[in-house]
Amino acid sequence: MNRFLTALRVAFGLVFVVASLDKIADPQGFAQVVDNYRILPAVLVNPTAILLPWIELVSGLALTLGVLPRGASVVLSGLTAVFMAVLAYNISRGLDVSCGCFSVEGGETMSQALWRDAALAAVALLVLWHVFRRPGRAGEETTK
Amino acid sequence: MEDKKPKFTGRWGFLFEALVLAAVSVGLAVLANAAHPDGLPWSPEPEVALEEVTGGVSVSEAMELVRSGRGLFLDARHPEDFADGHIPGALSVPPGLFAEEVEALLADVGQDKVLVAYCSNLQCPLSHRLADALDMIGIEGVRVFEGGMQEWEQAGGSVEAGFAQGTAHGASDAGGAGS
Repeated sequence: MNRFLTALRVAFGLVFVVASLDKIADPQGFAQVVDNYRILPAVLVNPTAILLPWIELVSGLALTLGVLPRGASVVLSGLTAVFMAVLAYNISRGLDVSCGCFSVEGGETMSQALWRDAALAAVALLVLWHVFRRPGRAGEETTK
Repeated sequence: MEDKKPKFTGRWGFLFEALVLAAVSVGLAVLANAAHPDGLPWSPEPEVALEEVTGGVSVSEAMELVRSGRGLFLDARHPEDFADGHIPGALSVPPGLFAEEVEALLADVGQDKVLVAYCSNLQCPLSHRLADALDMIGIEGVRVFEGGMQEWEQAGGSVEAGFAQGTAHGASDAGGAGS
């Protein structure tokens, strides 16, 4: 069970690492994606496009490697929740824009992305439980 | 090994961890953005001070008004043209509406909205006529996006088709406020 949860933690972190790479490589494209969501005011679009991928990458790497795992799992679970809320909000008002979740290019529909994020949220809960169960020790494989 | 102390102890230790991660992320993001050939400016180009400007609206300003939601666009063309494609969120105010119909149409519009009339292109007269007609019935300060639909589409502006709720289908009577 522990191994399974550790693997889940690594996988959850890697999801965000992978998701961040294309956004970091193409900041203009990602800024367009953020803008397309029509949620943030203009002054926040570029700062979000600059910061968000790095938060994903740094926290994703941290969780994967077991560095500061509690903070990283909270940050990434929070992001998952925010992404779901944003997707649900845009679906509810009939605005089907490019998800931009893993790539700044389009691809999947909003509802597909929402279902995927729901699965991710389930993983997030398991990871949170795993990491917080033994405060400070989870993820420190060297203590075995 | 069992008693090895975690880096940040206590119930709220995860918050400190999260702050450390956030600080590292911000630092790397700033550096990476500065180093990236297509790095983004942190703030968009300064907004035009709308209070000081009256009259014509440039296409870039029009886009900013649509994007920020601060503008309300009034499509002065005929309903058929409006249905074929208009600036997103625009209201159809075709020629031939009565003053009361126009007032009803604009009754729900917030005071903070910038009203912008437009029609097909630089040559079309309908947008100016609409602005003048609105001025006559007490709706002052309506500005005109002179480039109209043509300039909008050339600049890559998104286009909405059909009739949204709340737009008026033009009455064909002559002598209305918009004609």
